[in-house]
Amino acid sequence: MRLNRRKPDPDYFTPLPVVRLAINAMGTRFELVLTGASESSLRAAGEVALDEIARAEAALSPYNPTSQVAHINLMAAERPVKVTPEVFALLQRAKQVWESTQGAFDVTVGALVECWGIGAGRPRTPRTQELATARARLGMDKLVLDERELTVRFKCRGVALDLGAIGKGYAIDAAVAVLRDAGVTSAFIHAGTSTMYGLGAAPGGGPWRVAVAAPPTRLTLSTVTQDAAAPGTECSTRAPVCILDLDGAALSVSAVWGRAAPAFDGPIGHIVDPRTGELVRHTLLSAVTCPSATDADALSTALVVLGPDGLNSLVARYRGIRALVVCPDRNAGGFKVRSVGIESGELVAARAANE
Amino acid sequence: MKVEHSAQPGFNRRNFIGASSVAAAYALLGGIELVPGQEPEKPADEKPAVPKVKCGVIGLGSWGRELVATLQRVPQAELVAICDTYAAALRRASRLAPGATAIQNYRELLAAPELDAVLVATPTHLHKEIVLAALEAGKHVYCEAPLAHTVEDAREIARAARAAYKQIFQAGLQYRSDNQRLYVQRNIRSGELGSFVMVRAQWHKKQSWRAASPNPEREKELNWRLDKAVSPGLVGEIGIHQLDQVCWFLNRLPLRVHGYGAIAAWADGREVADTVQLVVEFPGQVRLLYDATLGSSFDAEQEVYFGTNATVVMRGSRAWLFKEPDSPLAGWEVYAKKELFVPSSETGIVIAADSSKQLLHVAPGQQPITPEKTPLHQALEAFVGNCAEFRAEVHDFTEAYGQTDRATFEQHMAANFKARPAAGYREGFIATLIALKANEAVVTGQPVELRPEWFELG
Repeated sequence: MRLNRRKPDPDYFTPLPVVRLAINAMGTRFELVLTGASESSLRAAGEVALDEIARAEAALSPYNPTSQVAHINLMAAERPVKVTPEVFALLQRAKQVWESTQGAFDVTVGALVECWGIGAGRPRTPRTQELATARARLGMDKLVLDERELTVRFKCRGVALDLGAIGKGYAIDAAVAVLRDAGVTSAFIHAGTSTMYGLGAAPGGGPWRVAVAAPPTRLTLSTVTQDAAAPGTECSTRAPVCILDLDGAALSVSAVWGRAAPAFDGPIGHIVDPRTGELVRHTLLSAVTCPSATDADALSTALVVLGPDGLNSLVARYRGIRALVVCPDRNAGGFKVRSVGIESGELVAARAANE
Repeated sequence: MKVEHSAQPGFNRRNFIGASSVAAAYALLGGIELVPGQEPEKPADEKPAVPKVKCGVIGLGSWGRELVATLQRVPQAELVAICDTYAAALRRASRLAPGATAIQNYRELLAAPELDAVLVATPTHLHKEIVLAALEAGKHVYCEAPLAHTVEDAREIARAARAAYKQIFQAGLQYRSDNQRLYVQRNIRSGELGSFVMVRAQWHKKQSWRAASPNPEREKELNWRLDKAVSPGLVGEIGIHQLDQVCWFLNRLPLRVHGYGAIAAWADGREVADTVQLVVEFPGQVRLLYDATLGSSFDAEQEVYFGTNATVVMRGSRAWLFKEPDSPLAGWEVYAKKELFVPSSETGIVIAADSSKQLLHVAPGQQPITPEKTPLHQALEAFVGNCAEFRAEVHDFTEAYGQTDRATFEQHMAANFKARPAAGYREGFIATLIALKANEAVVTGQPVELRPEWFELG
């Protein structure tokens, strides 16, 4: 036919293959979306990335008796426990963030979380004495990190590590590194939608675009006992807090709702402030975006504890991060957004509220 | 056991049994877990008595990186060098071992006089050249399994290892060093199961087995496992560990192997089967039924040893014993920890003969009580520990007697050196031979007879 004199560009008519992979790890589901020229190469690269996530879990899970963290928790009070340079560096990073946030981020917080019955899914209000006992075992200053021997030792008994608030980001960074090594130029990866990373361009051409969902209109016991995915369904008609483009960047979101906690007046949630032993009430949600998923993961946890008052100092301390905090407003169900580095165009709900 | 604090609200084992009308049926499946006595960690772990063993790892694919990471948890080991011809692999491993020197040419690594031991995890068909050179250079050698992609190469490696009698040679059959499996092996060998009836084993993982690289030339090299000319296949690369375990537990060598292979999941132009089945015949009419696939991850890995008095199920490093109601009691069972062996899901419960989906692991949310080590961790501790003690013993011997003949040396070592359990060159060779012959049966579709003389090193 005459109209078809010019050969069509095959790339134009055939969309690039999209490969999706997933793995259950660290108590959540990691998902990867990759696009590129060859489906089999993408899958091969994605499988190596999944292996990295599994490897991170094998090293960090406190529940796996062969993991490095389990070995530390079970033996470090008796003697130094040798760890890999990777785990050592991660513990050093956790300690730095602990120091720079005056203890708002603390991977030894487990005992305190247990007091509130949060991990076991049986919320309760602890006694003052209980909290005091748990707090005595908290803090990265209870760890001796020997840089020469790469060993970890606890200064006292009863200390326990749980790297859940930094480990998912760490696993994502490890996965992204192997994807880059394998020549992947376009990928999106997330851990249970709370920490994520966008690499290169999305299938449509633009960068990977993500929305931070608004808090549920009513935070009652029934909403907080729901799954972490519930906020999105709860306020499907509510505009998201912000929309961000991730190009070579990570985003991590920490929200106080999502897991069971005791019923109180006003907004409540499952995040405990390691500095006071109390549940966080001043903040509903925090989000941090920066090039490192490990940092984004840890800093979003720190920020939800620090609240709006800590926003400026955190952003000043960690150059290159952009962050926001969502706080409860006086009228029920309302919220306020405070942000640093996030453009007004990206702040959807705030803009809608102003209009 | 904090059963009450199960992470799944409203569902715990006790409720489940109480609520279930088939509880009685599951109680019949109650197995006794086989758990070795926990030896307390030796304080020697804290401060190694002898100088550290300086190690180098050659071949930094995903398993090589696993060696790199695990080796750095062994206090007696010092990882001084890592080696791979591929710059990207070297770079990635350097992130895991920032203190180790990164080298592209293995000969350069072997030339370092201070290096005590090398661990070889290159593609299988490249083992021989490197292992022979390493033994020649006087290094202790840990060679991944299978030892080689041909029986001839494997025999050559084993012979060279036998000749290098002042060096340690360990084959990468890590189950042979696993405390749990050593315990189960003794339990099975004690006759606890009565007469062996049959064995079933499986390995399932959904994975393409491909490797990706931005460089097409390199990508071809990385995908040696899919290259018919050199690949030992799924049986050779993966099945070898389970085949070796079965021979070891049964204490028998196979007579004949029948194999079937299919490209059932990844029809991407590959020629190496992604799904295989084997029937391995052992003396005494015992047969192993084995399958492995890259197409499904269901019911990942398990071995079942059926006996007339009892059956042992192994999943990973855990094992359970199921006694027949009419079997004689040894006496210890009444004191043993009993664990219910039930499907993990409330729905879709099937009581199949192979009771295929079991709740075998500590419920999520439960902290472990004692630290455990992976088989690889234990195998590397055995290797490094053996290197250190062997070296010390050789030093003592040479101080006392100078250079003497091999017989005197071996007599001294037999009396003074107690090796930690590990697969040596002989175990490595036999396992490689069996796995390669099983792969041959898969590739040709013809049964392969395993002649007794093949197992000899000559």
